[in-house]
Amino acid sequence: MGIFTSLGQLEEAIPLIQQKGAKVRTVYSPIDCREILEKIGVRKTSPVRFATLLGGLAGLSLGVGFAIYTFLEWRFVTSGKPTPPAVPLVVVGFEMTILFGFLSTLLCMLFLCGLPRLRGSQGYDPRFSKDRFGLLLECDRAQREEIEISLEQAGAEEVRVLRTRETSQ
Amino acid sequence: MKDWQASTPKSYSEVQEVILGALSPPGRFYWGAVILCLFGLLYGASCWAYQILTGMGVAGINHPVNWGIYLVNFVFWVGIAHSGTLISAILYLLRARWRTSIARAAEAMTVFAVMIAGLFPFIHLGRVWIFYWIIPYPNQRDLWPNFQSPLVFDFLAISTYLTVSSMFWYMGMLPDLAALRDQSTGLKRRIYGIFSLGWQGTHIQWRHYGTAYLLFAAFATPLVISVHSVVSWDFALSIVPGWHSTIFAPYFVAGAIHSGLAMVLTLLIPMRGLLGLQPLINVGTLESIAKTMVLTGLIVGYSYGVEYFMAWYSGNMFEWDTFIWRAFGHYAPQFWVMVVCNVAGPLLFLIKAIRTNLIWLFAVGIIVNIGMWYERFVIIVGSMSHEYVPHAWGVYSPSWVELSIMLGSFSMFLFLFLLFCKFVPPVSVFEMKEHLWTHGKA
Repeated sequence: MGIFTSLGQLEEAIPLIQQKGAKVRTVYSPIDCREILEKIGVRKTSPVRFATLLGGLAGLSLGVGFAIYTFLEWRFVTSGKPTPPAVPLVVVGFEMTILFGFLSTLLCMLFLCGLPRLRGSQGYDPRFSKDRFGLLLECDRAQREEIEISLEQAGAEEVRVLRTRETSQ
Repeated sequence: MKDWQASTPKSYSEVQEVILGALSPPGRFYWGAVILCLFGLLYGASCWAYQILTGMGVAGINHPVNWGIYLVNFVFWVGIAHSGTLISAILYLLRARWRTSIARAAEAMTVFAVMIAGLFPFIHLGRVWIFYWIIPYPNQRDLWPNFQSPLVFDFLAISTYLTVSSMFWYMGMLPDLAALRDQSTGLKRRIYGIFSLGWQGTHIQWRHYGTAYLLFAAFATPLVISVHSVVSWDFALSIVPGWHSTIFAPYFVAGAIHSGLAMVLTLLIPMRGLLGLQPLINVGTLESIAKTMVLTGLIVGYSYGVEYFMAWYSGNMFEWDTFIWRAFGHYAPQFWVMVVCNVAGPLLFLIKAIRTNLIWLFAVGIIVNIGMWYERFVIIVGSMSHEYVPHAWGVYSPSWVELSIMLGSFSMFLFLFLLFCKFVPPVSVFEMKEHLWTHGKA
């Protein structure tokens, strides 16, 4: 784990570390830093948007379908207008689209973020929510010293060893 | 950016210290204000209880004015809420940087205002225990709510708006609650830990959070237009002269944003001073709000003019008579207060010296709030007082019970806002830190 004081240093450190053969496991940051996602091979866009689409469509169907069902169940004719009336369905469908789309986005986001999280993860430092950036790496025991030196050269304020795994034979 | 002045914090820790420093243990003045607001809230609640026990006759509502200041307050508070969503969601999508320092407080204003607005249909209902009849569920009465009714639209729209706004506000706070958790100890740490849901700021979390927050803002945006349009249709879908007009939806939405911006000024100017947030909420930000109010004030003024034009141009004598009566009848003072406060007042902001002066900004904010309350009064009460049949004309005065409940609603709003200021970060910490990164200062 390398702890950095600025995002710029961390961004520069990532390719250097990857060249040494270490794998970036987690980046901790107090701010949203999309720039590093590409560097560590993660897509910037999130699949949350699919949940949004599905939730919105479900809400639209539910709202409009339910309203139509109630109109057909109890025909309330006003001013000779047809039942079911088309115009009020727009409002009902619209509101339900927003509500269900929002809720599905929320639930999907929480699921993908692993929230709520009951226990802290390995390597988390309370300073990561304030003004420090963390780079948690995975490497073999043989590479450990080299990676530590690389992190220090890249500007890490602190380098910690959390756990090692045996190299495969 | 021109509002990013030299006095702003220059590091992430400075930003965090300034904002979280606002949560330091408050003094007597704060607790005095909280207790005063709590008393006001309890007084209003007790008056409501009195109304429930005694009956709706204690309110001034009677034929022909069957919708009094309970509905005026309902529309007023829903309108206040819209500006918060405009600032936090719409300006986020438009990447207006000046909104960052005020978005959290504005969204809090939205949530509290919608909560209070949602109470007024219950208060106006009288027999509160039958509110559930509007909920669509299979029942022994073999009835469904009428989905053609604007009141049912209201139920859907307001409940959706409350859900979306409160979750949008809460989700926006997650990283900041984690920051509070990490710098707190003991019980505070546990409480903030629960509310932060274990947020750790990993790149995976930020990836999904960033996309989701953008989508949340995208969902909240159409609600700004739709919710107050739906509220306006409570009136426009009737045939009452002065209500039955196609301009009501944009008229109400513009008025809502106008009143909400005024409330933002009214709340934020004391808040920034009392909590030491001047480095973050600078005069440039408040000036941007003032400029927006000039625009919304002009739209509201245009709407007033168009209403009169349409009443005359339509040749409908009932409509025209209602509008003449509005300007020169029993409620003429309220009408002219409305016009002067809502249209003329914000025009003062065309003068730079006024829109950059905190006292003037606060004063005009109060003036517009008063004017917008009277606008709803003139529309709702004024129109019902003077409908088609002269023998059915009548005037309305709010009773002490109605005024007390209204006082309770304002007290509740301030009470909740005061608690917000001291228990959660009033400015978005992580977004302000992102500003530093964007401007190359950290």
